[in-house]
Amino acid sequence: MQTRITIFPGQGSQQKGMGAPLFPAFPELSALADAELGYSIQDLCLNDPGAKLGQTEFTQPALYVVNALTFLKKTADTGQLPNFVAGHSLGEYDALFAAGVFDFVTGLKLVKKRGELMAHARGGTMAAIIGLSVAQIREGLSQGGHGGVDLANINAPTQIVISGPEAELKPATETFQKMGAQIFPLKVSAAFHSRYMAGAQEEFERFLEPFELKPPRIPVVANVTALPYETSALKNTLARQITSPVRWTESVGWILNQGTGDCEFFECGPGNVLTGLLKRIRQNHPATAATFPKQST
Amino acid sequence: MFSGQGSQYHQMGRELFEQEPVFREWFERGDSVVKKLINESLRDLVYSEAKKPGDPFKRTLHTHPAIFLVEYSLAQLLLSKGLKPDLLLGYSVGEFAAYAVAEVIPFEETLVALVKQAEIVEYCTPEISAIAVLHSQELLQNFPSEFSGCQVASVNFSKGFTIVGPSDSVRKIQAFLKSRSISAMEIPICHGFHSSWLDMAGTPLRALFSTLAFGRSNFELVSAVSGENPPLDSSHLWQAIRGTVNFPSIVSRLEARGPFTYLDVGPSGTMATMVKYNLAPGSASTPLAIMNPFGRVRDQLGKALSVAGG
Repeated sequence: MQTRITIFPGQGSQQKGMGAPLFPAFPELSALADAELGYSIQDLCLNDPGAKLGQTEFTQPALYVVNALTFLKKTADTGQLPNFVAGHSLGEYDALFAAGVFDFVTGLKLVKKRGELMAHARGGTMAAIIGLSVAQIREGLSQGGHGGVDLANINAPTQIVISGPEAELKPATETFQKMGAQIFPLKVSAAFHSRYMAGAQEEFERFLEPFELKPPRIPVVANVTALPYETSALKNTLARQITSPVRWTESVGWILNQGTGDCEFFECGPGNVLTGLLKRIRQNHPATAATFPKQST
Repeated sequence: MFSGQGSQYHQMGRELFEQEPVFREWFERGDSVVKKLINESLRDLVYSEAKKPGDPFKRTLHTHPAIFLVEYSLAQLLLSKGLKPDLLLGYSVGEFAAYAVAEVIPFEETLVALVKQAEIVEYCTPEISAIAVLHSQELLQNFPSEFSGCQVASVNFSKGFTIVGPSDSVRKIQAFLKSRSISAMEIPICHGFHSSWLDMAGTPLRALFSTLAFGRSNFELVSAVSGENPPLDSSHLWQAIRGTVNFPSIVSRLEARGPFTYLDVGPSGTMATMVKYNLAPGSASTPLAIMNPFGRVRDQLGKALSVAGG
């Protein structure tokens, strides 16, 4: 039997023009989003008049909305619901929406707050390290004395993002360069998914408190644990995501291990960043690499 | 008569499913279609040994196709035994079942459309509560502020109407009714069909209906939202689930052409009960239900076939 998995991209996948056919297909939800945000989401996504789409507090609601509407369009067209859902960082909110944990507007409220908190954090940055494994990076950090740097995203077996204060991140990237890695600094305003976001996490936890979250109707694989969200720990898991690494490689690996047959992934949002990561993860995933060597995504 | 949301319960039609191959075949055929979409089996859900008729069963994604399947399967059973209906009366989601039985839209296409409709409604519209109030509608004019925040979804008979609204507002109304010793029953539904709470899904639902192809009807149809033979097009389907139902006027229009045997193929016999309350004294018409939560369903089936000339 085929296993359907819907995955939602996170920050970095946004692009001007995204969602063009979706806003007229869901005008009622778009209007709700406008009312919640105080600006036209369609205008931001399609025209980006103030060149704000790349700013965290705008990127996050915009991607959340476009991902969610992409999901609704696919659902309305096919009638098919996925067996598993997951989302990369911000994309996890769309996965939770797809699983019925909260409704569209509640998700948008949470994402708006999360985007604001993350945008207002300062004093850190992130860099992608290509070509080294998690073990090699951990070794490099400890041997190079870079104790102030955290692993932020484990995106694929040798595609990892580190996060920390600028003064500490730079020497760490030099260490990794010497180890043969390629370094790509990310254009972010703070050290996301690291201990330096503890203040944002605390504030977000307080913000989350009054919301009523429902048990997932579809298993949602969490960034924090690389396991399905547990109903008893919904808010805690969601808040911890802000300071915890995105364990994407393991999350995809967990899903691949559940599939009883064909695993069909659908990247539900703009771009194909996750589809690219998926290829690398599958090449290195023992069971599936052997069983489905040429599985398309 | 094909009833709509709220008439479902666990084990509905179980005797028919176990003892009538025609019913079972259609139910299972539909189940395999639905399972491929929602990854769950309606057979397991509806006929689970662990579930009693009174256990909660109200998620739209399940009730939509489940109601459709028991109604459609029973209608096929009746047709296979030679029953020839003069009219098919569809109430809300029941109109989809009537369309499928009349072959206006093929069985599988109707079922898939209902699953899509349930998904769209679940993702796009707020959860609401609903109650059936056993009192005349005057209550609404006399106590407008008590009922504010809610809407009338249907008038079922002179002393019975249903209201929907956010659960807080509905709870307040329940308390008010209790204080006046007026009976009210909760209806197991969670989305605002026949109210403006459905409008959040208006555009995607109309887009869905516009993808359906409508053929000629094998039977005369009557819609519970208009009392008329509905136009066979997508705009009517939106009306069927969004419009307000005035059931007394439907029955009086039908009675003018009657008498009829009003045969309810819905799970709980609610439409037969509603017809009974709407018949004028001395009417020669007979309301009759086949399924009910209490059993002896096959006795009722036999009765239906003899009365309705099968």
